Amino acid sequence: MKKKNRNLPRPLPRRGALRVLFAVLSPWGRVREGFLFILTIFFLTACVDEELPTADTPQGNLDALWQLMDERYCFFDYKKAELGVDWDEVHERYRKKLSPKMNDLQLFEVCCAMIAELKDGHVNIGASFDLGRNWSYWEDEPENYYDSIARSYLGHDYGIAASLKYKILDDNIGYVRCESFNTGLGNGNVSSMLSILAPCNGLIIDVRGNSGGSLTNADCLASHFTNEKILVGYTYHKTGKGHNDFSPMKADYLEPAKGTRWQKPVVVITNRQCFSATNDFVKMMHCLPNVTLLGDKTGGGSGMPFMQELPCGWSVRYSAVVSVDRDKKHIEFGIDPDVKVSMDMGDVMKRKDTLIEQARAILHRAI
Amino acid sequence: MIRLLFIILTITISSCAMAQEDIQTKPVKRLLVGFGSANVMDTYLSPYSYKHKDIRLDWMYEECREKRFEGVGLHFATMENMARNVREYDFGLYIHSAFHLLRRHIGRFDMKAGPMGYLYVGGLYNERNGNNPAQARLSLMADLSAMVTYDFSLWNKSFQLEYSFDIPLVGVAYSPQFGQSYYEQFMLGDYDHNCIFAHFINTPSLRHRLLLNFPFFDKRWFVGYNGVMDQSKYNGLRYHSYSHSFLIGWKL
Repeated sequence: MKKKNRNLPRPLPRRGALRVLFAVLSPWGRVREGFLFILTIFFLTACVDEELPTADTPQGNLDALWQLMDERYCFFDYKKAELGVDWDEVHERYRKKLSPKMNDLQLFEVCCAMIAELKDGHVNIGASFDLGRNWSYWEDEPENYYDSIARSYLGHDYGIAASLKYKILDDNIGYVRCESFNTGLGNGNVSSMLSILAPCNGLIIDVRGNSGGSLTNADCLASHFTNEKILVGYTYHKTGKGHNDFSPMKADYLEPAKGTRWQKPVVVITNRQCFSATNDFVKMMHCLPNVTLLGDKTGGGSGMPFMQELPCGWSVRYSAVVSVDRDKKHIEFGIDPDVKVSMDMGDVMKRKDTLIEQARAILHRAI
Repeated sequence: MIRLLFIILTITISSCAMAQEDIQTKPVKRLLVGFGSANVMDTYLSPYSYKHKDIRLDWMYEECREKRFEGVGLHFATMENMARNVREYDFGLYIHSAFHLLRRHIGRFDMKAGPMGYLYVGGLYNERNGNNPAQARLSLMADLSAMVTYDFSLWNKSFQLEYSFDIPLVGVAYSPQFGQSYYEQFMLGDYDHNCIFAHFINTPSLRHRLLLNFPFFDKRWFVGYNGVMDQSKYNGLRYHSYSHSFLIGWKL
């Protein structure tokens, strides 16, 4: 039998264009084969497209929401242990509540009820007419804060350093009100404020009602209360679609700020509305030796939220990155204070803030 | 990974350096602009394609020599999601340099092929997202580049039809991890497989183009089609950018 010789030129097709193409390709031998191999692989692996349901129907939207959360939410195991949430069972239960003819409001209600099972303030559905949420972590709890009374401590001649309002109280205690971490806060702002408050014997940082904002701002404020780099917690994120697909824990350190740093006792006043970046701020302050947490447990929210969307265009916000404390314990449901204090109605009648008064007493004892 | 980066850089630089041999030949310099459709999906930002109320604009400057084909380009695209309530903006800068070391000239056909170094820097911005509002794109790839030209005459004027394509073969690319935030990467310095070994299986992409080169008044003009099919799937994230553009250009 005749052995095929690869080096022999093949007969060319008779037709013009093909003849030219073969004539061009045939002497290249391995180059042509390699090229065809790459093209084959290319077409086999081609088309990187959507994986979630795309149908803009009640069923399509609920399934997309469930799957999106199933693949990306970072607290399923923790919520199963703490709340008994079985996400597969949740899916089955809420699918039964759907009907093909339901309107947007009805679908929104079902979707919101489904995500509310997770009891996470960072899990929301955003539609043009409403924000789906579960804020029971603070709505069902005492607020321990009266804005008009807290403002009376600031009076009219308080200072403003970016998002911080501050005042030296009569007993030479500095009082700093931090309502939000949303607006920009720089080292210069905090340094200048602390320089003005430097003669004070102690400092109160009141973060009640602060529902979070930028972690960078929280870091910036906390960094003015330490002289050395300290471990404050760990962070990790999802690396895949499985409930337990996580990256290794990465240690988070609080580094001392370059500007003015506070050296005297500090009391941080908290309530259940302290959430997200504020929860993180409290976590960092809790690691410092001269800081006392006073008030109520914080609201938690230790997952950094990401956003995605549903076929109908509603946004979906969910916790994607986990932050735990330095003992690797979850702070998703809040941080307990060192001294639990609730607002006393007798004090309220006298227009006194029980928590601020208690903080002042602690600072005077510490001097 | 460092070794891989070294290999890719070697291929890229050598394709540029080898092309220096070709520097003596007079280049055909041309400027091309394009407009067309865009269809972009990046599951870091959204699980769905943004392909409605879309437009893509391209600008390219290229130099073609006998063996060398170089260019720099910019593109910008904007498109909406399927519910038409959120917009994304896609933009990028790319520089490529190919050395067509294989060449066949048969009749009026001229076929060239060889390695190409392709650097891409760009981003995709979603106007609604909070902690994941944008995705940065950075890659350095060694591509396979090929070009076929066909010369012909009509009405005593010379025309040229040109078809070219390139396929990324191997390289390095940047990508965040599936659920990793930019805060972790840039504020906490967290590295988690963000430098990816990209190849034609996890980056099955194709860019191709058909151009007609024709004389009009005293200039030579180009019209044609530009198709881009950029795709990737790594770190659990899926990305595609499909575009079909009409090109018009002129020889400089």
